[in-house]
Amino acid sequence: MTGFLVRRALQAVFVLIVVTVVVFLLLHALPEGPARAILGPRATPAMLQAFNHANGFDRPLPVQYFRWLVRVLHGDLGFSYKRNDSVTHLLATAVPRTLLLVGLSTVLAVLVAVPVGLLQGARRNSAVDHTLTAVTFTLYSMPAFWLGLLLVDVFAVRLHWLPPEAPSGGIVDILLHPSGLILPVVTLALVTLASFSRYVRASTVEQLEQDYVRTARAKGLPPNQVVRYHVLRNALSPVVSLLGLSLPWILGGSLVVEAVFNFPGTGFLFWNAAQGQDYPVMLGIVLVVAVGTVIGSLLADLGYAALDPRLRDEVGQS
Amino acid sequence: MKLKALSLLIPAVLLLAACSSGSSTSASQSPQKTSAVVAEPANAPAYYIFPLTPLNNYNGLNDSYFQYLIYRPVYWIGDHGKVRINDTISLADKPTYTNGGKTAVVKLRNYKWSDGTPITSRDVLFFWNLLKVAKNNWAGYVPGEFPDNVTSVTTPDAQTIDFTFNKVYNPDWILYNELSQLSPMPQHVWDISAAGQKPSNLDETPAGAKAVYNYLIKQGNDAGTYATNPLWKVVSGPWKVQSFANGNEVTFVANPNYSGPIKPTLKTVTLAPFTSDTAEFNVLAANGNIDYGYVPPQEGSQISRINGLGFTTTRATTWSINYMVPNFNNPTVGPILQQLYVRQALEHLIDQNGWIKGPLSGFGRPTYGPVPTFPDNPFVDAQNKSNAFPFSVSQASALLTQNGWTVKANGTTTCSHPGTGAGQCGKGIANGAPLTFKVEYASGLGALDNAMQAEKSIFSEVGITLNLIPEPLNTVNANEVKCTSNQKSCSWQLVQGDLAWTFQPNYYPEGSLMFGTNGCCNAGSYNDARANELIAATHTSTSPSAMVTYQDYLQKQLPVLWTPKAESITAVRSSLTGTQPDDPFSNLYPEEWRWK
Amino acid sequence: MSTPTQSPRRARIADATAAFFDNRLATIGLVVLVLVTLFCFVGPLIWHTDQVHTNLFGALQPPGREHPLGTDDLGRDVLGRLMVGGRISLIVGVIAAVVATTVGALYGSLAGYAGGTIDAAMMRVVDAIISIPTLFIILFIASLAPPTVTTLIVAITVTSWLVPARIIRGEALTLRRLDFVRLVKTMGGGSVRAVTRHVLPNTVSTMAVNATFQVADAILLIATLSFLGLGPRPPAANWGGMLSGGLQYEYSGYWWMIYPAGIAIIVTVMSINLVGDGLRDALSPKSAS
Repeated sequence: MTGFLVRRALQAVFVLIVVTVVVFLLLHALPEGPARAILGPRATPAMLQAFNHANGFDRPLPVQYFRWLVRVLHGDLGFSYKRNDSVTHLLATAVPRTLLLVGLSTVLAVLVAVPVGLLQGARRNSAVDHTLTAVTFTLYSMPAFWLGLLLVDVFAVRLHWLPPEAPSGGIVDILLHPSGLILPVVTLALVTLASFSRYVRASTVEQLEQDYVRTARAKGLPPNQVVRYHVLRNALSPVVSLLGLSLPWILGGSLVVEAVFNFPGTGFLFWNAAQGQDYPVMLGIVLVVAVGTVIGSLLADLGYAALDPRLRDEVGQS
Repeated sequence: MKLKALSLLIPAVLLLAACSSGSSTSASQSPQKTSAVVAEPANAPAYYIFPLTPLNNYNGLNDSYFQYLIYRPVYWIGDHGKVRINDTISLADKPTYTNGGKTAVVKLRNYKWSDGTPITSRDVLFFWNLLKVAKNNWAGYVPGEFPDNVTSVTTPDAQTIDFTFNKVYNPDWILYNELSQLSPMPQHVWDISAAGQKPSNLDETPAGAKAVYNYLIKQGNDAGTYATNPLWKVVSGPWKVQSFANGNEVTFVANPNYSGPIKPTLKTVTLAPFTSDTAEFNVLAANGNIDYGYVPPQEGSQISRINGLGFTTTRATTWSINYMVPNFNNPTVGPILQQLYVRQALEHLIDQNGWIKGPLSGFGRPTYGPVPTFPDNPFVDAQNKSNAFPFSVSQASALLTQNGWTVKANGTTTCSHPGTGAGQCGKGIANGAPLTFKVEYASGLGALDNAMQAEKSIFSEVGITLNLIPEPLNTVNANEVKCTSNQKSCSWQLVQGDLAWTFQPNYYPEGSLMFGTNGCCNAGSYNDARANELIAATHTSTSPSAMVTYQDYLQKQLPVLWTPKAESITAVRSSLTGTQPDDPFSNLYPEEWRWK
Repeated sequence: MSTPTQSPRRARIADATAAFFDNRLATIGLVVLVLVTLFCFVGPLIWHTDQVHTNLFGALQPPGREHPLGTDDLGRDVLGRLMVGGRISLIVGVIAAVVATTVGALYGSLAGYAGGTIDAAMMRVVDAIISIPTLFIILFIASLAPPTVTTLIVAITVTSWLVPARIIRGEALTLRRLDFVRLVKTMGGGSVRAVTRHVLPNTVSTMAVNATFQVADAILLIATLSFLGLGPRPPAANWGGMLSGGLQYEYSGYWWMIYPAGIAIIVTVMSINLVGDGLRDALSPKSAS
């Protein structure tokens, strides 16, 4: 197990290095350099040169990369001219918000998807299964921004039951006024659970067809006991690894939800940065997200292996 | 067991909603009598506090929503919706001239900093000394103008500063473009080059000024400390920064020692950022936490509903013009665009009324020339108040036919009579050259998108193909560069602005920057000797006819194609008075706001 | 001993087809998908509309005799626009899915077949790119290059080849232990031959299922990009652009600007997913045994 841990950790580090190189190269693939984009049309060539020099944009790429890497390891993710703030400081306010949104909606999605998927798998091809399939498929096929705007229209504007935007301010303020979080969390959860429940359903179906289930049934054990003890555990272990893999996808969904509900988290910050060609911010976010995902999937893999001892060897081989 | 969990969720949501809806409606039903919430435009950029704003931090909103509330300029332009000097809140009397018109005398009134120290000429001189060393990094710098065209600055007494220029200039131009940039800074607090130093006269030498400037810029770059840094606690305006987060989440608190004529009644004013104008409108439509907001133009039909919720809506125009820039040096279409009759034909195809009525939902104003017709101002003349090139497909077609083109409606119009004689296409235009252009413009703006598609459709009626290229704004800005025809960067042909030019911070509506041969922002390389003469005259001539001759000539010469500009619809709670009329530079006057 | 021949495969295909059409939902999905494709590609030949010229005077007309689904904010017929819009969504989706799955499958099968350090390194690269949210990568690419149809296909492909690579690599790992592949090696066949002639064809079913889901994902992705302002350029129509453009009029009651395009997206994506699910169920190993 320790050997496996070490191997996976080393692989994770390698992955991170690749991430930084790929992103760094992507962001510096521009011919003119960021100076013109940042300073705008009124900048004179002298201003552009001064800016480039001051920020080291005129050095060769490998040099820029290593300087940047050293700074990052000291906790300095750079400075954003568009936002007039350090990237670290910007992320310090944005990341907790997104974590809250993503965390709450993922928990909600799992809490709903697991029972729904299990039910569907156990009652495969029944009326219940078909109805739930119809509902989850509709949710899955609907663009998230439309779902969000519909919910705002109905619950906030027409019914006045909930506020139309997410609460502003720091995490403490947000937690003190949670009503504004309901719609964004529900929107993201609905989109997420639609795919989760299908996965759980498929996994359940697969488990129910396994030999051990058939054997248990043949031995005369009542069906619900079968479901609970064996199928549950085996069907759920892939869900853990699913969570780890889904994190980037959920973050993408959170961008849209943040835009609709006016929640300035990391996704929205990235979109702004992409539109404004704000490299330090884009690079910083990608790095933080990648680190989070790699660590997250590492933990998920460990959880997966812990849940299913049979697979430890196979997982260890990958 | 599993469905039970689901069924428990619904009452839980309703319970939470019931608890919260009570608090949210109460927030909007009983307006906070001591504060107001202002909705910033979507994706508002980050604010910058130090008054010598660097180029990459400058945008109009920075002045009107932030800096001017804290640090007042000497001369305030914008008076109750009119483009003119605001004598009530300016820090000095209108300038007088001596020395044959070469010296402007600025007499400061009795204003005080928030710590009680009087605002004197020394504070203006401090600003000036820093400006001289910082000009290359300053947003308002135009080579040859402030501070280059000032030969000396003297302070005869604590209330007076004299600016001597290198020649006689038009006083209006001096006031609107140069003196308007003066922003006194608290020399008794800021004249330091490191934290903890005692303020001295470091700014009196260029090296000392540079040190002070570098230190202050460094403080200005630390947005996290805007609310706490003692430097920013000494202000001249009616407001101070109470909290500042994320670049554009700002709360101002009233300056109790404000020495101006109108004292604030509100205790705090909050600027609220929005990710998109849909998000802002959702809050407005739900009667949420906005007191001073806006209705996006595409929701124009919802105005009556917003009014019904207790808001008053008004149209607001900015001091700007909008146009489409032709690249006169583009190797393919440059020669075609250089022909005046071609530009005249194109201008005849711009349906300004249709553009405003359709894509802008009626919330827009036409641009007829280089000086804005709206808002009301003393600079626009009679000729420029009307359209010199009214919408007419037949006239456009006639102009082309008369000059050697074969017009093919819904096909491609080509040059059939090349050459430089009468009735021929013109220099550099080959036989069979088609009228095909590509136009770039900022993406994501629904109204602009629609307008461009409508124009494309109109152009095709005369056989002109317009290829539409929407791109992110920064890409448009990066592509729209002044170039010569052999350069790679000269492949752009036309760029349509959303709001091509706002006269801010250079308020005087002259065209040196956009239409002068060496103007920073003359991306299309428009080059006309007479235009240059007339532009220069608007700077130096003291006769009002200079402005008239300038705008009449340029209106007809079409250095760019004039297009309509969008207006905004302000929505303010009816019980909040003092917010109207809207300022042409979007300046906020929260010290005049009162809750009924 | 028999070498793999055609008849078991043909039998498997026949089995799979039967299993597919046994599945009611999958069949319905396929039928709907065919109808949608006909609507988008054959429809405009029957229902002629002008999707290029604008008509500001006839803008925002409610559904009526001349325009069964009304007109949009530039006066264009919505029904016709729906047909033409579907084309781009489907074409981009299909091309991106096919290219991404092929590239991914090649990459994954090479990695799985090679095994060892090469496999580990190749998969770590995939892990690295997967850890960045797709939308972030695409936003970045879209902010650089003008959003033409080609750029869109490239951007979507760049992010979509990763999952097929992983899946196929998993399969290749299993396959490489199988008898017939070992046989190829002992008989002196090269790796490339083993991969292309034996590993890949056995992953076709997985590739097919994966590609199907990719098309649905691509359609949703284009819709989201349009909402974020980075979709295909006008006057080209696409359902996502129609939906997000129409949502601006949510409060004005112009429902025909929103629901037709939105429902088209939902119906198409749903039917593709049903087909994909059906394919996967029909082609899964247990139904073969």
